[in-house]
Amino acid sequence: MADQRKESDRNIRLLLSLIERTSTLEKTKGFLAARKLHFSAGSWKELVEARIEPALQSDALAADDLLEFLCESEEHGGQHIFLFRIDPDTAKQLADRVRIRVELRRRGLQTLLDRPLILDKPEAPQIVDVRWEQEERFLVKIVEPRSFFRQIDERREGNIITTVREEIIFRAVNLLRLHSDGLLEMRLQSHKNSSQYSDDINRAWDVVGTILPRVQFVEEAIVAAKTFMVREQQKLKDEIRYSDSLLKDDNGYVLSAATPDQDSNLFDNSAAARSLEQFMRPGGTYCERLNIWVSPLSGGQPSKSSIHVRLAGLPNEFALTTACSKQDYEYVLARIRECNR
Amino acid sequence: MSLQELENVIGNTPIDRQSGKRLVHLVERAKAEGHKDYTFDLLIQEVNPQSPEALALAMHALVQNGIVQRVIRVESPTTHGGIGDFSSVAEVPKEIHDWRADEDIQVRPENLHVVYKF
Repeated sequence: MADQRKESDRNIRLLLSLIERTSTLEKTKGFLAARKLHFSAGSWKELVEARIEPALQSDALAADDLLEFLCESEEHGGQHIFLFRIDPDTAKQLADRVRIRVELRRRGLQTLLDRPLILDKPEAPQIVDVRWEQEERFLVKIVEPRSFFRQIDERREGNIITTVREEIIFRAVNLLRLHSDGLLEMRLQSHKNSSQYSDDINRAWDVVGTILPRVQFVEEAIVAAKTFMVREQQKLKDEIRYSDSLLKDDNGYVLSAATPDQDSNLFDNSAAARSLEQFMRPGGTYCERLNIWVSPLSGGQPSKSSIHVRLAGLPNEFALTTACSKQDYEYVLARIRECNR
Repeated sequence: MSLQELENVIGNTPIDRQSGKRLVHLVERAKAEGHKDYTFDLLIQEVNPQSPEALALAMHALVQNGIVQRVIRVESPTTHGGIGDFSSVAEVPKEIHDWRADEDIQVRPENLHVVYKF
């Protein structure tokens, strides 16, 4: 009993530490407010000591609530997403609960079916959660250690330049989500200073192994979605703002255009708009790279905030460059899928 | 600022008279249209000065008099679109997040461009 209590306290402390790193003070206050709990605080420390801990002690808040909030914070946005496809019948077989239980037991991970593992920085990539979303989608969550280098000093003595760098190790969260219609999203946490994700893709496939066998999936290219978004920009203008684009045709010609800043819209510049529209004649031309800002429509009205989406890289790749809500993530994914038909 | 004051500011710089007139017209037009960004290359093309250095001094005078704002724009090396404006070179960080490429980059001199905002 005492061990269980210690484990529970450890998990809560870790959950709070992870939430502090992946969310913001304002969003965490919003989380408490939504549960009709006291939320005013001037700092994270104050929020934890004066608001969260008392709520936990009085059972107004549970560890599961914190876990749900952590999932919302770290599973949406700040990711590069790669789409794959499998036929729906095979998708249904792969997501079968009995099959998954067998797969997890083989790996000694069957406890994940009851509750996820709460880990900070494991030494190697680790599956920490397996769950179903309304029987329509099956999700596997992986936590892995990643590192980047930060330059902290550079000294020059004559012709000798000495650079001192610090290796920063951090926790990265990746997810694979299989839809009942056969679409698989592989969401990989964004790198700070690289745009190459081939190694990360291969590693994610290796980690899930036979749970989601790589050999059965094919890449789902989104070239059609990018080309549609440029061709139909007039129809999409209430929802999408364009920051830059790279178009190519079947003669090898390239047309690139970009705005001066992130608030401007490429198609508000009449000369740029005419050039892009003329280049995108039907047949023989496509859009290879697009940077857009999506304002989700609700009741036909765009929201005041916008989500940066980068459609570039591999043919099946797009990125939501900053953390966002689950609702916004699902909206963007749904729109890309619609534009891709 | 009145037209006369504008002409005086530009007239008190070494720029040649004809080029100075073209610069006055450019400033008036840009102010009327609003939200204009001019790189120095574009100014040279539009004003066609006898001396680019004289044009630079005229622009400096316009900046000093608050008629024009001068910013240092960091451009994305992949798309050449702007990823951040700074009021001086000293304020430009050594490393910046290129949101167009979604990665942090080391800022190099070739990524920096002087932009005059009207």
